Amino acid sequence: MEEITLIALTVFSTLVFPGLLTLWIASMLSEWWVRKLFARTQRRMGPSYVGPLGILQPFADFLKLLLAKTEPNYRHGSVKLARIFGCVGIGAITASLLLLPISPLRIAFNFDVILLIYFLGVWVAISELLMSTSLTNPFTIKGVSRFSSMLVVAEPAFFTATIVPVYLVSLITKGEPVFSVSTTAEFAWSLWTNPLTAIPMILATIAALVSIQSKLMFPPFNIPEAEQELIAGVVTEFSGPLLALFNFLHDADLYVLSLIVAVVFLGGPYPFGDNLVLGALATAAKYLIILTIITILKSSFGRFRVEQGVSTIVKYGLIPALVALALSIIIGGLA
Amino acid sequence: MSTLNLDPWTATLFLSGVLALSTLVMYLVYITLSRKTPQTSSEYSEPYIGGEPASVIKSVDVSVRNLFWGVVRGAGRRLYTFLRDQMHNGILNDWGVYMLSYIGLLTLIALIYFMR
Repeated sequence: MEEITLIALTVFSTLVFPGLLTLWIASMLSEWWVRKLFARTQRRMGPSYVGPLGILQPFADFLKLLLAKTEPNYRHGSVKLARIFGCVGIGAITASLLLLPISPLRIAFNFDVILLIYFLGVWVAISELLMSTSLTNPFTIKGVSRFSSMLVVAEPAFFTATIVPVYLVSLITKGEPVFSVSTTAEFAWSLWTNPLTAIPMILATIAALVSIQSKLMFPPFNIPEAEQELIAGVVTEFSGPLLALFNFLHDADLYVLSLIVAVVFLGGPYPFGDNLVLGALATAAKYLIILTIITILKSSFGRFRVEQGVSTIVKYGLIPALVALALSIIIGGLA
Repeated sequence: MSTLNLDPWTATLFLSGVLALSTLVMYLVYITLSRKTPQTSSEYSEPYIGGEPASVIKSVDVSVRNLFWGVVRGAGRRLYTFLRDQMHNGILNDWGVYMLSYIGLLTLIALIYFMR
């Protein structure tokens, strides 16, 4: 009986919550929030007509591309390969969601943060890169080249920053399992109340936000999809259902990266972990704060050139993350 | 809420299974919902280069070896040389190896932590 319950819970977690269905809905709502807020900062209306305040516009855009348009019949590449890599990227994001404390079936073990890095750092990035290169075009290749140049520094920056709260929680609070995403979420809020640990936490949060900005190709790191010079770069050849799939993958990446910051850095449902409603509200509030900061950063900068982008990620992403990790090691040694 | 406290090996296999299941379901949803009418226009079978024919550029299919080369060389020769010499030579596969090495390093740290 227990096995049947476990299988049912696994299928539910994979397909419904926090899996595919919730991932799709949350990704579309996140896109709406970013689009609406971004438009308002530019004194535009943003999505307005589909649903109240245009909240259903991303859903309508996705379904229109998927249902009404046709896939390109492209000679210089493989549409099927692009389709497969798009789905693998979504699958990797779904798998990583099961490591977060919002999932009804939670996977937790010593050093599970390595698995989070494996799924998000390797699979999602490679899926995005290979999905784009599946339909070759000089602009696409150039866009992918620029994107991968930035990822070489952005990925280590993001995951080094992520390790900081994980390391501090494991060494200072002695919570079990060690180096686990779930344990980190439970005790992360206490790191902000201690002046000693708050310093590396501030540095790591800044590094995480900068690297998320570049991983998502948001301004000022939108050179890989520079519309005017590269004709959208990484997405030049995508249209119809393939564009819908890529947009979903991108929005899902935005959702999961923001959620990781909300959970690992700000504690997710904690300190209301025991109360389902308050816990969900706390996670949603923290998530919206992160999403709002990302959108404000997006609307505050113009586009950087590639070398400016790379050096900015090194300066404000990689170096603060490494400094935060070094400080954490020192603080951990003192503790 | 149910917490599965698995060993790392089983957890990796379990989550890889979740990845495979969600990929399969996503793929099935995609091919079921996406429009089936074949694209007849030849316009969509050629690369889009600002509406120009492919002959305006030297090579339509850029070699995969050039993925990093052109831009990184232009972006910062010193950074490029460092990355090439230390960890990267411009081939996407090697970037994968680099990322896996990074994870390997973390695993090593984990092992050292346990052994002490």
